[in-house]
Amino acid sequence: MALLAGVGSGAYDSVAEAGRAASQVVDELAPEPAATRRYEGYYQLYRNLYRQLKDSFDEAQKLVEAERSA
Amino acid sequence: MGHLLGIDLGTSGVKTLVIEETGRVLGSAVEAYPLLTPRPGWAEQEPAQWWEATIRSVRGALANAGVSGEQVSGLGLSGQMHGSVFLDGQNEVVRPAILWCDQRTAKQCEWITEAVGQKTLVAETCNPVLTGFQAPKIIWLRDEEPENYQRVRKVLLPKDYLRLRLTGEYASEVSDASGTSLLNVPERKWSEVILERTGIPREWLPEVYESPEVSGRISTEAAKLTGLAEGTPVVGGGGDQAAGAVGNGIVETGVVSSTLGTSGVVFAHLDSPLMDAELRTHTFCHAVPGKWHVMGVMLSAGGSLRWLRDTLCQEEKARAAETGRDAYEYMTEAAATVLTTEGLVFLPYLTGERTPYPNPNAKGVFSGLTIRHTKAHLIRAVLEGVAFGMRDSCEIIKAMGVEFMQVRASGGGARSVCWRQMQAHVTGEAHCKIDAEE
Repeated sequence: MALLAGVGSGAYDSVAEAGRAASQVVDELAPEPAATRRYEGYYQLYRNLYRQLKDSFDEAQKLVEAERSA
Repeated sequence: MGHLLGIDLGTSGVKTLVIEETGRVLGSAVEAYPLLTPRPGWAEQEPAQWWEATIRSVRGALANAGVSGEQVSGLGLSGQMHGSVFLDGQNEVVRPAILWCDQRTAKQCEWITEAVGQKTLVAETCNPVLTGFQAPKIIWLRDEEPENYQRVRKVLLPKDYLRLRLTGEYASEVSDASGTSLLNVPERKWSEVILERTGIPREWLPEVYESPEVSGRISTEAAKLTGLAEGTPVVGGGGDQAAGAVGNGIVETGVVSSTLGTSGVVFAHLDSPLMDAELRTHTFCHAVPGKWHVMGVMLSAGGSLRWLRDTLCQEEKARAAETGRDAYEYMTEAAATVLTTEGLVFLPYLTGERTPYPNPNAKGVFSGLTIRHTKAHLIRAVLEGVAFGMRDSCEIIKAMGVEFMQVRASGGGARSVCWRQMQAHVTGEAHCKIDAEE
């Protein structure tokens, strides 16, 4: 990519300098603590669901494979 | 003042970009080529088509920018990682290149893990062997196409094949070579022990450079074909993820990117080769010399939203076609009309998963549906589910001891303020938008 060539050709002193020069922060969206707290419960539910459903994914896979080979 | 040229060899096409040394884009050109799927799960391309498309794309970008080859002071290569180009003693392609998304090598991954030993393999490469990586493709050729294997004298990564055509040099660089399963990632050189235990000859592999090092110069023949000037330096370049991260300013510890395309990637710079003990993330050499990076990859991020759009959101698509707006805008607006999913949760494992669960059998789920739920709730649940998946990657990387000082959102998903705000809430980290030229 072109920025790396700019380091090779001496336009930039380093890759870090090239990367900083090419990207400027335009705006920032901060988390609101109340929203972060509310999502925490949903995130835990999301984490638990995978654990609880993991075996059923394998079962579904077996059924689909059996249907395909039938 | 010199101009710079970047060639990005993607999976669907090659894009050439001409920029000023300040990073401002002067012109670009894209040329497409087909993806070949001769069997289910296989993914191949013809390197000759990459090269022909590259010639057209370089000529097109120079013309588009109004820049002559003599004005280009340097060229960099990036592109699709992990693929394998097999060459014979005359640099003729032995068979079509096997790509990163090819799934044929499950057996060979097991063989390599056994032959090298899991502990040695992880200590050397910082990663498990994955079906997409280069080494199992070489072993597949040995097992399945022995007549082709006998003819092989060189094996190159996709973008390094372009370098050969441009400069006549066999060369690679550390970021892309990290995805072969053959590189000692902490020491940034080919792994002698892995080569010895897999029987892959060292002479088949190219020299490995750091990304900004000059690896060769445009040859007389390539100059004639592309319009570039003979002798123009070509630097090592980078794999698509590492090179893209440089463009996003992910070049120092604490600055992290969160990229929502089809997949979702959380990418952090590392000063030392830290890794997740459970190998749920990838640790590779960075395009910043002497540095590394870690990334968590969820497979269906924007892909989940696209699936929802194409299966359930015909109305939004029709309205978008009328107004010229994006269907995703109508979808995120609908999601914002409900403040909570009221217990509905979406698991985004529509194409299996890599981080945090390396499980190809994982499936998508809507859990908690009631009669009160509307399409708006479903959309909101998908946006949240993807944000939760991105948080999973963030949590693993934080647990490795990586500090998060700034998260930079990029990719198509960063265009939605609503979704970006949701990710900030879910992860507890402010999400910046950046103005990146490349």
